Amino acid sequence: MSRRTPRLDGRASASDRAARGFDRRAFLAALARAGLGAAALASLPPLARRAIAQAAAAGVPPELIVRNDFPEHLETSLQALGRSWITANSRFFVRSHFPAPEIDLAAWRLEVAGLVRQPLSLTLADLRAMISSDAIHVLECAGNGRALLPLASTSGTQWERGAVGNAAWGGVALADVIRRADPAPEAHHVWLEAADQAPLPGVPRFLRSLPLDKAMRDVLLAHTMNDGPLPKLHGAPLRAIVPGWYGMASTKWVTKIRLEAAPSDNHFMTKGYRYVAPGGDPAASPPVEALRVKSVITRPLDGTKLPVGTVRIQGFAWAGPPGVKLVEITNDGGATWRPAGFMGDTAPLAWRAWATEFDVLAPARITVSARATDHDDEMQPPGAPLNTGGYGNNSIHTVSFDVVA
Amino acid sequence: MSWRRPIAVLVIAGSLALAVTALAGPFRKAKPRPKHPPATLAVAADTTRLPPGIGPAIEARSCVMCHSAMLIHQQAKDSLGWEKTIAQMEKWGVTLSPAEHDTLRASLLERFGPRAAR
Repeated sequence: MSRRTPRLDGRASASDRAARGFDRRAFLAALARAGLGAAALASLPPLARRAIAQAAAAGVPPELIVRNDFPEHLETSLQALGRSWITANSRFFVRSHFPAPEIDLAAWRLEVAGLVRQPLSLTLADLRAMISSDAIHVLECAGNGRALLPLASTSGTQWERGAVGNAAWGGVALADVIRRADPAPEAHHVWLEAADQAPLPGVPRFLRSLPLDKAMRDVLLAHTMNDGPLPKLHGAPLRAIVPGWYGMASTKWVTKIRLEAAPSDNHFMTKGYRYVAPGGDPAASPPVEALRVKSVITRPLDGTKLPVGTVRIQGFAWAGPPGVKLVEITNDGGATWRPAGFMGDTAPLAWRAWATEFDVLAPARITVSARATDHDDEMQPPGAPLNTGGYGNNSIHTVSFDVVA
Repeated sequence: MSWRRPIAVLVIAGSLALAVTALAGPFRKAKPRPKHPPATLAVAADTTRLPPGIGPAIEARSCVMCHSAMLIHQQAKDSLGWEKTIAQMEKWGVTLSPAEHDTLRASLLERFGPRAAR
């Protein structure tokens, strides 16, 4: 049962307005704040429209920023990102290569084929009957922060800082499915084929492959997200979750698993998702795989005003398989760094919440930076190395705010 | 009946003016658009409606079936960058005449050229 807290200003609360139904004026106001016209909004998916409408009803900025409306590229605002260790489904970023496919669940099967001795065709019920596996993992889009890189030419969605989130994923271990299919000794790679496709048939289907040892270690085939059914925009009925790797590896709408001797030569493996230096050859460039160590400041937001006194700085930090070890803060331009404290829950390859405080005794303009270090002693750089795709931007996050009397 | 003649002339002239205005509407020369501001992050602002012009008309026919113009308009590329993008899309099935190809590249470059150094 939900709790109702009366407002002191006599106005209807957000939940009151929500209970009365759709608040069109607030919705349109939110749309205007989001910089969107009615035509663009009409094409938004229900999840995005609902999130924007809820934000409008609550009188706060939208939690999701629409970077593209077809297919959906939705970014979580920093303010919304900072609300909780677990990122709610309604404000979790969305990145899809193609429109979400319409899937008939009754007819849906997960096919497992290729270099296996026992090909499989599994229903959702078959998967649910297997030993369940769940974990809390951070998921970050490889292009998160692309808009902030000093690239003169930039391709793809211009994400700022919110194409990242932390969720509880539930399903089965990919390793269990592969073992059941009894892979042949020459199988070394696992190809994950997806159901989504572009309206033009000549566009390659989305496909990512994983080395078999990674697939057997900790990869999930998830059909739940934050204890509810996996939402359609997040890959229902089944998606991969590849912990510690950038999001493109966590294929959504998985329908077929193939075991093969070699990695896939699909466009999204050999041309996309490579760290290509200007003028470089994608196929010869390093693939985008493990997350780079990174921290983000969720409070205070850049440009805000705070009262004189104790100032609290907080955010999240994450890393690839080594895990995040340390977050440090500077408020003197990097002359001195001091550690922040980790707080709250922790889980392997989830993000960690951190916080610190310091006193500001007179009005001042304050600039704070946060940098994270992982257990391999990799440290967040002031500026991430440039690559033409704008991937893996883990540059140090800096915010400035005014402390006022 | 001499008063009827001027009225008839006015009616005919007015009809002609309306017809010319109506016919000319779709062919009016587009106002020159300001260049895409460098490094803008307000990506949603320019994306709800395609501006007038031949390049955007090619976008509306050849690009938006797979993705919104919004996705194009937040990018910034030099001539080679847009050339590579258009060539990739043609390889995947978009059909453009050589003239359309060149017009689209020039239009994208004009509106969404490289960002200023930051």
